[in-house]
Amino acid sequence: MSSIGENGDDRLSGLPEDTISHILSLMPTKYAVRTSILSKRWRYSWMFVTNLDFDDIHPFHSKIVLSKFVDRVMENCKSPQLRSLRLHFSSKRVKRASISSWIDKAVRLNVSELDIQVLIFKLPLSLFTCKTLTKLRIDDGNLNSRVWECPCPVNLPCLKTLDIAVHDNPFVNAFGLIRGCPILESLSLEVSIDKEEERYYIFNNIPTLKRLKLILERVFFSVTKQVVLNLPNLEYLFVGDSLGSVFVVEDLPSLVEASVSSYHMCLEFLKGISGVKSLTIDTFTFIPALPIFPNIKHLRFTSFWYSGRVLQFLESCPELKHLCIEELTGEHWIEPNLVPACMLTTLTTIKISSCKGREPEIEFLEYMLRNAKVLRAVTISWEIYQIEEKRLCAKVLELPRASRYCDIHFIGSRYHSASGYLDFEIHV
Amino acid sequence: MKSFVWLETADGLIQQVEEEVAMFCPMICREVIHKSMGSSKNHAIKLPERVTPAVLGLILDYCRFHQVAGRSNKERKTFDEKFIRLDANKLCDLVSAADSLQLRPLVDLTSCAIARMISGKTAEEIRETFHIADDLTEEEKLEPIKIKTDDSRVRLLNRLYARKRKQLKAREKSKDVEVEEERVEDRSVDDLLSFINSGDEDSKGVKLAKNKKKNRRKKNLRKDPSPNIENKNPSYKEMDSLSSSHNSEIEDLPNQSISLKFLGYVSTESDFDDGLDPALKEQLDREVEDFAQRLNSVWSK
Repeated sequence: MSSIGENGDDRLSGLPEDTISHILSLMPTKYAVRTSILSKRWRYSWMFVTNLDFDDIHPFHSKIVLSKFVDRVMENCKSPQLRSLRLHFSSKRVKRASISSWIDKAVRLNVSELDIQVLIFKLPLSLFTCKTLTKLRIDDGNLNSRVWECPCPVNLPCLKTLDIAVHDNPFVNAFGLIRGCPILESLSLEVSIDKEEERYYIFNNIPTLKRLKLILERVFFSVTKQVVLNLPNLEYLFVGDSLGSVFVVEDLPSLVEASVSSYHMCLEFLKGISGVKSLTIDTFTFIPALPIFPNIKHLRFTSFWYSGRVLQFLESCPELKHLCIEELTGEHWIEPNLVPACMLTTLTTIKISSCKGREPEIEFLEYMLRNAKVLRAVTISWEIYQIEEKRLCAKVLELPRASRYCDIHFIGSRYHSASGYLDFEIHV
Repeated sequence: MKSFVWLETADGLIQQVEEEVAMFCPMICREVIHKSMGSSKNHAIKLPERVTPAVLGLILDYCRFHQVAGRSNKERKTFDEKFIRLDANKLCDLVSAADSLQLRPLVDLTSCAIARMISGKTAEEIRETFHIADDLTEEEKLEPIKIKTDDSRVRLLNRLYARKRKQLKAREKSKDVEVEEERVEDRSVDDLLSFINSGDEDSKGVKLAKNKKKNRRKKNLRKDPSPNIENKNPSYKEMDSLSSSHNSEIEDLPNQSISLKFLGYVSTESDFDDGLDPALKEQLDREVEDFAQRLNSVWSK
């Protein structure tokens, strides 16, 4: 039974094999394998994909079926150089030994990127000395499963990006891994510290590191840690800490961007990162005095903030250009005596991404509009009922503006219609 | 004074294109710089065969937009999203032509669009979108599942397949259209669970299941075109000598005179001599059909 397609000819099948395998590499592997029954020509094309992407959603009904499927694909994979292997099993507990053998197979196929998010697993030794790996992403599932045990010294000569969550003996395991990566550029480390004895996490001797993301999770009764940062080439720092660890900045001269999400922040740390150009802060406890941030151009407040605190920051950022606030809260605030310097000379855009239209917010807007002399654009995203919108928009538009060229944009409330987000803009 | 480059497509058509737009393509860039081609009509750059005038127009539109330096990422993304809204065949031509001109970003963009059209669809849907002719034989599509049948659903499915195979053999001569329709449903289930054995045609290895006489008997029956029980014994011995490993999950059978491949482990064999009374058999059949229908509606989403 062979017939020409009804409406046209088949251009897809005529494409060169390289192009076909490139296309098939861009989809989850289960769909790529499915093309094998399209026609004779398509029978073996899936075997040459360079990206293997397995998940456990539909239509796999059991872990055994899933397991066999992956086995078969790995067996038949004919690509000499695997670009990536991704295993995302969020609900099926595939056997540890299977996962280990698949990772091992990938290593043998000179894999470059590995992304393992599974429930239970064991890492094969070959992974720790893989010469071709450039990107590694693993979450050890928050079980004391001895995933990271590696008797031999770790040697990953090409690894540039490491994104791991280490819940089991983090001090030894995480640092052991990091030490084995001579050209590491981007590190994302999530640890939960349980009964660890170590008090100091010292990040030094990683000269190539440009990006660092640290998430320290809270476990009760843990000892306060000290995290020491001595990374001369670090450009981007993200700190997320619910433990109240003390962060000590020894040397971060190249830092350009920092993002802080820690309830306990200390003055010393802020001084240490005061050279940044861009700062994102989540809410934290009050600090009476802030250091000056001479280079900041972008300032972003996530979560909710008191207007008074926002202004305190504005006073410390003389060169601020772009201000972003998620949500303003609090009661009446006292107008400062002096208008912050940046508002007079450099502040050009203000964004409020979750404005509820309450009194304190309107007061804040009123203050900003009245005093910011070089303001160009104010963008407000409403989180209000649609009936309120018109009134509030009108109210804001009426507020006197110090800057002649200031535009105000409104992004509509999502309560507007059932179908979703309404986006309308009133330019004035 | 704008400078132009002369390009010639495979059909002989020569056109004039602004230099900065054409130079966005690495292949054209190389021709101009290293071989000094394209400066006049007589020295037009000969474009690869896969670049037809229609596709060239599209590609040049893409280049014209993206070669402008000042555009934001958002603008570029928006343009790309609109640009890629083409029908299947145009996309194929585009990826082919962009590849021959070495325009990597466009190749990636187009490949992603094609991948989206394939990903998540059933084989029927894909064939329809891309006008792929279906040249696999019915038998080839009906490969039983090569997995351990712990899953009761899979067991039922295998039973269904066995029935279908039997029906197919019975109707081979009459060429019933009904069979085809039933097959259509089967195919979408096959989609995911059938695997191509890479050395299939010549496969000789036979792995026996853990001693289940019933299965051996069934294997022998299947080896022959007709369920001829007399042949049982000689083939049985053959099977023994060929057995290589005792993998309890998977069996392979040599493909001999029949075009059907019987691969798969079915623990409870089916219709030949079940010893079930007809009424029960019928109920079982209905159950299996019904199950397959349900499975299809879930899987062929």
